[in-house]
Amino acid sequence: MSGLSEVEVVARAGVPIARVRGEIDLSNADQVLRSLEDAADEDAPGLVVDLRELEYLDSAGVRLLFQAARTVADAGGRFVAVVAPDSPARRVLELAEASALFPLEESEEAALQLVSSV
Amino acid sequence: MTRLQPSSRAPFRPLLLAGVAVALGGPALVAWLGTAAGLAGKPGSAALFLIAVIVATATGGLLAGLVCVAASSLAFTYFFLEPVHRFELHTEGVVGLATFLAAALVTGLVLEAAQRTSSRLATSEQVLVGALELGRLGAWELAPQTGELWLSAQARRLLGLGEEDFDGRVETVLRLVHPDDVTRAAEMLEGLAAGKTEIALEVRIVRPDGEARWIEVRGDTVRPPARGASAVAGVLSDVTERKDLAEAREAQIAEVLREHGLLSSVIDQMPVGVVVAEAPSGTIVVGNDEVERIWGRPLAELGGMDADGAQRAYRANGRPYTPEEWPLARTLRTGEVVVGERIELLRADGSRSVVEVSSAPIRDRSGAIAAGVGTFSEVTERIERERRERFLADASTLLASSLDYRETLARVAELLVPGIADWCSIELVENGEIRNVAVHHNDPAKVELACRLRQEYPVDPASPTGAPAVIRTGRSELYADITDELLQQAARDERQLELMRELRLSSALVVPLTARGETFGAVSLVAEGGRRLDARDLALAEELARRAAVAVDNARLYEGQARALAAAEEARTRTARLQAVTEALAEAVTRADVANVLVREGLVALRAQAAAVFALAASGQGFETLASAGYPEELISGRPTFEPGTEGPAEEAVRTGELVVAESPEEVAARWPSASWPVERTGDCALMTAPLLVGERPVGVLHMAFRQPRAFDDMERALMQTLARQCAQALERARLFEHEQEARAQAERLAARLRRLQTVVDATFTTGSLDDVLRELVTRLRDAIGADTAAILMVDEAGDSLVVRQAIGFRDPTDTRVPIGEGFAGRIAATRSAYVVPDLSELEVVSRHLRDSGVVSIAGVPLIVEGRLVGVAHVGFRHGHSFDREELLLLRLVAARAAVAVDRAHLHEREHRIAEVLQRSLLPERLPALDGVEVAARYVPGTIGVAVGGDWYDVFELPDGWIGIAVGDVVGHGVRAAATMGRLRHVLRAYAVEGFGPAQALGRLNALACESSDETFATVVYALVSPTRARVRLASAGHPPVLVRGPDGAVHQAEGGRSLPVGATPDATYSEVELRLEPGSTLVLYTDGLVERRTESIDVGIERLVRLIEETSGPLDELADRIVAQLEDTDHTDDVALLAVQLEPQTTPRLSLRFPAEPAALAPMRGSLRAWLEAHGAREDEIFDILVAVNEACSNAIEHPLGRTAPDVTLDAEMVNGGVSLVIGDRGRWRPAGPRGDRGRGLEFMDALMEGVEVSRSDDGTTVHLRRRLRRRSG
Repeated sequence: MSGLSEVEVVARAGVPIARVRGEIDLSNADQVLRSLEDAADEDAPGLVVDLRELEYLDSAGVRLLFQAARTVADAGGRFVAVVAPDSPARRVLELAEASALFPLEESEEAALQLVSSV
Repeated sequence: MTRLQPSSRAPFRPLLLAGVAVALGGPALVAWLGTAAGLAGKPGSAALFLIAVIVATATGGLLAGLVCVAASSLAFTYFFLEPVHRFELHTEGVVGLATFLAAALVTGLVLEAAQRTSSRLATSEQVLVGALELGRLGAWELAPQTGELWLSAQARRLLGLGEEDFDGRVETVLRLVHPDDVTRAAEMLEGLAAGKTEIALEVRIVRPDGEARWIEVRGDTVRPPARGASAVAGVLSDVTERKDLAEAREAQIAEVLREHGLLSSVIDQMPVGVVVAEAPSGTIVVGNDEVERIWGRPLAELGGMDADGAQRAYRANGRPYTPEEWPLARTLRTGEVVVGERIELLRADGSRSVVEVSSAPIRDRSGAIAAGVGTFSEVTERIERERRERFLADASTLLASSLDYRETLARVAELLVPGIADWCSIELVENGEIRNVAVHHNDPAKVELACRLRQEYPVDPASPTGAPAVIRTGRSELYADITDELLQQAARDERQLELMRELRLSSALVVPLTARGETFGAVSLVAEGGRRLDARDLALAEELARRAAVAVDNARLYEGQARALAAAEEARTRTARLQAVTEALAEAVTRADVANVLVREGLVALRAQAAAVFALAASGQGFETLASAGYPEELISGRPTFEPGTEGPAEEAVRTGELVVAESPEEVAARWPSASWPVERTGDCALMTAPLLVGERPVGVLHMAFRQPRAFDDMERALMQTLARQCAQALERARLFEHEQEARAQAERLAARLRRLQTVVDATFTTGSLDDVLRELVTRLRDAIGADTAAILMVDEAGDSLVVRQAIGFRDPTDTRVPIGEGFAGRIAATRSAYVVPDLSELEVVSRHLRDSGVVSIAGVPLIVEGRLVGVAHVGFRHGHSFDREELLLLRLVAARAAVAVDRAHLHEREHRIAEVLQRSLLPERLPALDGVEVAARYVPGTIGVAVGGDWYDVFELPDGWIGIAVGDVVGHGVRAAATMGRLRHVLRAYAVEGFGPAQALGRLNALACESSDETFATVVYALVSPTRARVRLASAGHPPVLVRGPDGAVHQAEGGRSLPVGATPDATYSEVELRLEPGSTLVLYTDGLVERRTESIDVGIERLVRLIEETSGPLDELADRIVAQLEDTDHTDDVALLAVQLEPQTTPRLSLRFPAEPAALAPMRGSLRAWLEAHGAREDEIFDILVAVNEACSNAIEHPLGRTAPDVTLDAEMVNGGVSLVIGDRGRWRPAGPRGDRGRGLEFMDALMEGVEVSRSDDGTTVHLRRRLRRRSG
């Protein structure tokens, strides 16, 4: 199902922001990962992934975020996720202890500041 | 390697001998001078020469004399004879030499004897010593027995001994001898002691001052044994310098040989050809194997590199080198350094290669050119590669430049000529035939010749060689030499051989055009006039062909795609056109109207230039023109007849009942040479003539003509037949209508006179069944005439008897049969004429009902429709009655009306029966009773045409609790559209049951429709209602929008999920939308007949429907009735299907899902589970936790290695004790989870999110039990 999720990429202050909407599960995780990897820019200081409009996320989605974070880190960039407080995505990411790997911010601005400060 | 020994002809030997002679001392010198002086004087010189020899001999002994003779003669020969004779023995010289030798020998022998005598008499040691000292010889004498040694002063000097140093002992001298030579010296002494008389020895001595010298020792026994103790005397000479010279020379020679060997092996190893040639001759001194390889012949055969090399070498412009221009020659002559001069070389075996030649001079110490070294490196491959790469680059650019592959291939052919070959021809397989798409030669006359050859001798697809074979096998062919023998084999006859010889072909190759494993063409290259194509050319051609094939393949794919798009567009246009025809026909009342519509629309639809509709005349002979366009009036008036031998396309179409097609004027003229409607005057260059058939009965033809010859494809033929079918049906309808009109007019005329009969005529217009009409007619007929009986009999199905259908005045008329030809009615039927019998008793009455009826006078007429007998009508009196003209006229009138009624009724009855059957079979008999769904469905037939269309609706429940609802509309009307509709409806159901979602199901339906041969085209809306009835997945294929009425009564159009109609194009993609509905919402699905009016936009219709739904409250059936009722007020013509579905929320205590173990099934599963949980009042955060946990369990199941069949996953959910229990089952074993793997994380998630997690594994699969308490929403 190609319509399960949608990734919109915008750039603010030279930092790519990937806004992921819809749902991520086993069926489209690889596809979303590719979108994120496409969005990442080696010349940028990092990548912000905005998950505030994400309605569903499971372990396949966690895996893809971890992989994307690793890819960005390997390229010397900083990976920051934006999740709304008390959102389903935050719940799953906290369960997976994602914050040990990348920061979870509540707004794109905060995330941008974090990425640009490096 | 060939090593050429340097020529050795230095004339030093005579000189050396002369030198030795000089060295021998003064006597020889004196003798020689004397000789020279003697000879120089010529006359009397022999005497002087003789004297000199004698002197020499006398002073030097025999040996000196002989040497002098020899030296002198040779010196003479050398210095005084002509230089050209130096190496020849001159006759004169030989004679002279022989004389001298003989004289010397004689003199010598005489003098020797004399000398011995004198030495015996007086030992003149002083003379000897003097002589020795003069010649740097030392003298010695040894007494071997005593070891006493005498040395002359010179001898002592030679040995480096002072007078005081020498004690006269031989041992003293032996001590000087070099240790290596001591043994030899001792041996010599022992030999002397043993009586040896002559010695000659070279030994090294080391002088007391340390200097080492070579000393030659010669000696002889000088005192005969007779005199007692023998003595040995001899000379010493210092030969050190000679020895050194010899050693140095040997060393030098060894060095030179070593260097030469080294050089040779280095040269041998060099990857380029190397030669060294002597200046100024150019003779090759050394060269390596590579040179021989490049030149293709042994060096020994080459001789001078300049002359021979030049003769076989050519410049880039083809001019041969002269010997002076040859690089090596230039170097030897002028010292020029040549770098990388490129030459083309013609080898001994005829092959050519390109060689880069460099040469440089070798100078001696003085700077003079001693030799030249030349290197040759073959660059044929490199040049060929460069040329090939350049060429392929050009070709690739060309190939990418256009999508018109024919044009591209023509330019590729131009590119190949004349660079690679003289000819290029490209063949492609198109529509199963091998076709030439490009031929190129620089000379157009040659191209013409080749075309002629090809025209006269077309390519034989089964040919074992050439392009057909290459296309068949996909393997290249190379004919390096085209021999005449080869031509003879290939030629089919003498003439072809002649033409082929004229082309002067010398070499050829054919390579396949292959892409994606398929060979679809071949490129042939031919060289002429002795030029040869080789493996390199083949490889190049193959590479080019490979690239060209890819380009052609791409272009073809593109073309195919474009064609498919055009075809889809064409189909759409055609459908629209047919719809236009249908609509126009609906308005056509008379046959002329119908014909005009067909002519007008047909011209547009088929892009024809002329058209006509001819109807068969009622007589069955000849045609009448109903409408025409594009033909002059006089031509139309001379329309086709059925005169024997004058058949034209129209007659043929009627005769065969088949579509008649002619695609060229030649074909038209040939097929209908003497048509009654003169084809030679119609200007038809191509035509299609279709019979108009009502059932099997031809009623005319539809004729479409074109001013240009053209081929008709299947689509055009089908369109023509469809038009003809529509035309025939419409004509028939119009004919019946006209018939009615005519009859009515007639009746009305009569009615003016026969007012009382009006009621009879009217009877035919009552609606109702045939029996109703006939009963009415019979009743009124009897009443009008005042007769006692009246009856209508009809021909039965077998056509051989009459059956009473309606009768009045008879006692028991039912099921009475009268065979045609027998009795009263039978006779009327047989003769097809009226029959009046004043007294029935005179006739043998067959039918019982007539016999028993008591009828006396009777009159009857046949019921005939268009020449067909359909029955008989009669009236009777029980008393004698004379029928007047008016009564008979009335009878005939009734008969005519009855006939029409019967005919029409038959037609309608048949269609009605079919329609009813279809209706019953195609629409659901009853709607299923479903939980939470109330359904009202309506179907309203159209008001024009037969009462069956292609609209349908359907409601069905799926195994997983979802409900499928569908409404569709197949374009077209009648039995065919109905049949298509039935098929689509059932197929859609099948897809639904198989589990396809709305978009997928419509996609498959589209694929099916596009594949089907009957040009199915339909709009469909298909929706799935979730088990909770809160969600609807909706997809629409070109269908009018679904209307949704919320619980508040507001109506809106469902948006999204809209795609092309099915059957429009196979490329269409289908999408769907999910609607979330409030409880109590109503969906209204309908076909366009409900909202489409000819006079207004569809939006107006939809808006009207929206308002109507908004205004209507109450039960669903009432809504459906109201919607249908409003149709009555409008001029709707199309049929209408309507489906209203009202949804009530459902809470099912259990949820059971089964879905395929695929990632794509996860999202729908979550959707179902979410809806179920929502329906049970679970809170949003709880729902999310449960969804994640269940999803992880399902993901595990999906990611199992599935070794077995039945890859389904099941989910069972149940509300228990204020919580939810979920069981996920599958048929596999989970992969063992890694420490940080996803699946491991999945288990972690489950543990974290749920209150109870149990995973049980068995051989049959894995089951996960999940439990969680729910807090529930308030309310």
